Amino acid sequence: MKKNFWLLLAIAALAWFNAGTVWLIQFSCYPLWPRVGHDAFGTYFQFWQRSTWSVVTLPFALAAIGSVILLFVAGSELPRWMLWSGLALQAVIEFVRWIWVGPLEQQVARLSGPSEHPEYRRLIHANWLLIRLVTAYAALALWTWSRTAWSATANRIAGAYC
Amino acid sequence: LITSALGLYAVGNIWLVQLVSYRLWPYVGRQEAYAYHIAWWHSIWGVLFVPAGVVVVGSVAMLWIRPEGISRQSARVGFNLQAVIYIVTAAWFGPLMARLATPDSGLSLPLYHLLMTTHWVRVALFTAYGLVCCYMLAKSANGLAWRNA
Repeated sequence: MKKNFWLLLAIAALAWFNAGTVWLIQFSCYPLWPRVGHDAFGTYFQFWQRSTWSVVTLPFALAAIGSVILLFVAGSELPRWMLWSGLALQAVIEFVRWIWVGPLEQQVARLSGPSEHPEYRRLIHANWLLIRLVTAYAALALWTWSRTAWSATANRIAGAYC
Repeated sequence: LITSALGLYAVGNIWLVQLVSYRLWPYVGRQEAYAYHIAWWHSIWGVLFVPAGVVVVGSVAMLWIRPEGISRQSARVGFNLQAVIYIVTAAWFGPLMARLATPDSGLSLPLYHLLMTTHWVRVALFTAYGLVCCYMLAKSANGLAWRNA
């Protein structure tokens, strides 16, 4: 099996892992913030930031790095537009995380809790965009992997009958 | 393909729960702990249980209907892992979760520490199922090729 087959499988697995984290953050983590308590929110948020490094920031970074590596090692069976689309999605995901969602989280924390602040509603809104992007990348990664796998299969079948 | 994708989605869920969500509970205000705990329980229904249900249905279906290249044994391993996940959840984690916080005393720290220690078992089971999904994805691609080569 080609190296890029395993790389694609790892990227697809990582992409679905990331989808699992970003959907849970939107539907469970953020909605719980208004229930933390005004006085406790400062330390709660500090721990939130520290703890998301290993399970959110690192896997997101690995997926982005993987999409760059894929551009160089992918075989000719994969259309270049697919690889560039993946890289573009990863670039937008990282941009939205660092330039939009991250600062909005900080603003919410500075207000000592989300409650009904417009910043909190903006954070939820921004994270919807992140969900769409991460889910789109997960679907694309799985589609790219399937294409490689089936292309390898088709080549072998063709080789066996020729 | 859908079962495997959602199996890997569940691995992302369970690691976030273990390393972030559960570990945040002691930081919640004492007075708010019970309401927070109840809100947590309601918040996970759609985002965790619905995809998990699809994975269970998929793992059962794969006992009879499998893509080319995936053995019955692999499907059985996947189904058994799912069965163990639900047995330990119903027998241990569900009842433990129900006793974890009360309106009067808030979060029970001894029970919380017990949850944090034992929940690694569920993390391991979900991760193992994710690995089985990766194995089945690889085999479904390789199996047909090897068989026809």
